[in-house]
Amino acid sequence: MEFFNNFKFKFIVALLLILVSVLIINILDLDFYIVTWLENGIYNILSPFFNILDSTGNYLSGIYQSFFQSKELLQKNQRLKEELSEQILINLSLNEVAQENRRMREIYNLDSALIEDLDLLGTRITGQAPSSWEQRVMINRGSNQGVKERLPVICFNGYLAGKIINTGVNSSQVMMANDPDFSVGGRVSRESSRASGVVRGQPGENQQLIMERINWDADINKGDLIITSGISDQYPRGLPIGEVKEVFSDNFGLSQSAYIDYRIGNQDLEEVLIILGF
Amino acid sequence: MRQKAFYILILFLVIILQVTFFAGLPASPYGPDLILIVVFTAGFVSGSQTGLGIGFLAGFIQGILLGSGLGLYVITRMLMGAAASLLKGNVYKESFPLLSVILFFVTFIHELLIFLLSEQVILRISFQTALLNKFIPKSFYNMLAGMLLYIVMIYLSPAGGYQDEKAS
Repeated sequence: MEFFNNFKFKFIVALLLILVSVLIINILDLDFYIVTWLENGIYNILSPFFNILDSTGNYLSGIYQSFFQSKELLQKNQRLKEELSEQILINLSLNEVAQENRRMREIYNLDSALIEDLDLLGTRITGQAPSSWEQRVMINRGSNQGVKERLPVICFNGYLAGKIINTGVNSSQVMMANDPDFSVGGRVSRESSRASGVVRGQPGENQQLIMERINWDADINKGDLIITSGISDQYPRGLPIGEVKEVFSDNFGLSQSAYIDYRIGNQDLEEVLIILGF
Repeated sequence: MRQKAFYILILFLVIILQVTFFAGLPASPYGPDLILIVVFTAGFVSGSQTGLGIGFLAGFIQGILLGSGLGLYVITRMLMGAAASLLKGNVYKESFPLLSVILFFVTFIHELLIFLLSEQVILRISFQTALLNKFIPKSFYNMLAGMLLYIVMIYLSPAGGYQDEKAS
């Protein structure tokens, strides 16, 4: 009887109760207002520190670059100017094709399939969430700037980076495409093939995604570009995801899967674009 | 009380550094998991109550930063804080070589718990791959980086750390 009044016994019972409660909350995915309120409060208190540290680091790196790397910066600037004029020419010819495409679609009464008039918001990555398996980053734009949960996020080269999972006042969290929880409908971008499947992040693989549930006889090859299928209304159709690295038979030959090269490393990313509307 | 305030302050500093500075290093996929070191030190030096409290706070904040709040990290960090308190009085605070080995195994067990409790991980990656690509390199890296933080914490810790539980 004395054992049950023992401090250690009470302590172990309390610990077990807390652990079981947390486990149940997790398994049943329960949402308590007070916990959500507390989470948002703590996140809004912490995020300015990440923003300040990021801005300070950025400022110091700017000073360093202006002093010691001015020659490289001038060369880079010149190269970018040349690339920009090249891109302007390509863009002009693409606009012509897009207009022609739009006219044809109007003639045949087809829905628009173009990524046009995207409402984009540029943002800086201020930090990476500490985790063993999850790939999540923090950005310095939040609900004050019109950011909402589930909005798609892309890199400056247009490749899909991830989606917004949580927003604070001036900061948000992005689940990267290589996170194990991430999934998006993908499609082969080739004239002779429209094979589709589900693209997901892989645990422990930062630079590789997996495309699953591809038809067993679908035409998909190494080097094919995979784009978002647009089947769900969360992502615009046609955002590039990555190139196929390897195709293999899955589910005892009932379907195919493919490894996709995902070169957007979280460490290399500095800025991303949020698609506010499409 | 001073001791608990010290751990909370260190925890916040470590979280900010881990999210910003350490996330930009080339070895960032392997950690270091300095938050675990703070929880371990709190449990080991100040006992079970402090270890559990700091473990809960660390897991909760980490969950918030991952967008899940009361997530699996609350469970694993609390367990680690409680487990570390079992070593209190059995291992000297200054036995650095022995503590290095302990830190290796603490990180290893923590990673194993996360692996076992994460359905998106355990069902999609083999144990062998996780062991070779994650558990061992991360435990080794955390042992090295964690020992530095542990030594700093021990020397900065107010009155060596034992007074809290004696008072209670």
